[in-house]
Amino acid sequence: MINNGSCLHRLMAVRFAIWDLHLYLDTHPEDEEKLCLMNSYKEKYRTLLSEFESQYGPLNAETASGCSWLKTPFPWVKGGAC
Amino acid sequence: MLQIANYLRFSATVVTLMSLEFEKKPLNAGGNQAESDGILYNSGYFVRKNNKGEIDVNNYNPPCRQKMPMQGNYAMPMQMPEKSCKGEKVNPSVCNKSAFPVNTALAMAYVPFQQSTEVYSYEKALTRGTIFPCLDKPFLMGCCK
Repeated sequence: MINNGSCLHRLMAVRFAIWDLHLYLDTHPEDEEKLCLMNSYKEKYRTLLSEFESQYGPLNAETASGCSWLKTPFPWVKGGAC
Repeated sequence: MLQIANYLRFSATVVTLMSLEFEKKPLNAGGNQAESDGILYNSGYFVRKNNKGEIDVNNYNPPCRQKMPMQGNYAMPMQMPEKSCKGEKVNPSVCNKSAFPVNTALAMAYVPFQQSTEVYSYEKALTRGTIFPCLDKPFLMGCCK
């Protein structure tokens, strides 16, 4: 089970917020406030992702080269991000 | 069987007539879009016509929205409209589009247009399944606390 305060949980939460705001902006492109909020969350996601990866290794294959992402523990095993 | 066939034919005719009725009722009069460019429907959506005069379903704009600039196949971040549908100056962060169209047709169902509202924190959004409190419906209350 993922702890609410964990880095991975925050990554998931910020990612979800970005997606939800993205859907909203499909029909409300003139809402500058929400656009700014989404952009700030994108920046936050990048920061959290770099924090996560510096501590636990690549989160997925997109940010890894070769099989380097397989060399660190998966989140659900001992020593992982959970 | 003949009665059923006749009934089905009658139903199909009614549906066709209803469709034609809506096709024939563009609301361009008084609108800010030229009739030659397309059709403004009861729903408030403006459907453009292509060069051949056919309706281009891939190119439509709600009245309150400006056409988004495109780069390749992707829409770029939008410019803030300076004027509302009625040509009045508006606060850039607020669109004057109301929850329902001005002209609502009888016997048609409408989904209210979501108004700009406050949002949850991203942590609460994940637990509630939406970042918008107005969309946080209590259908599963007790199951997903």
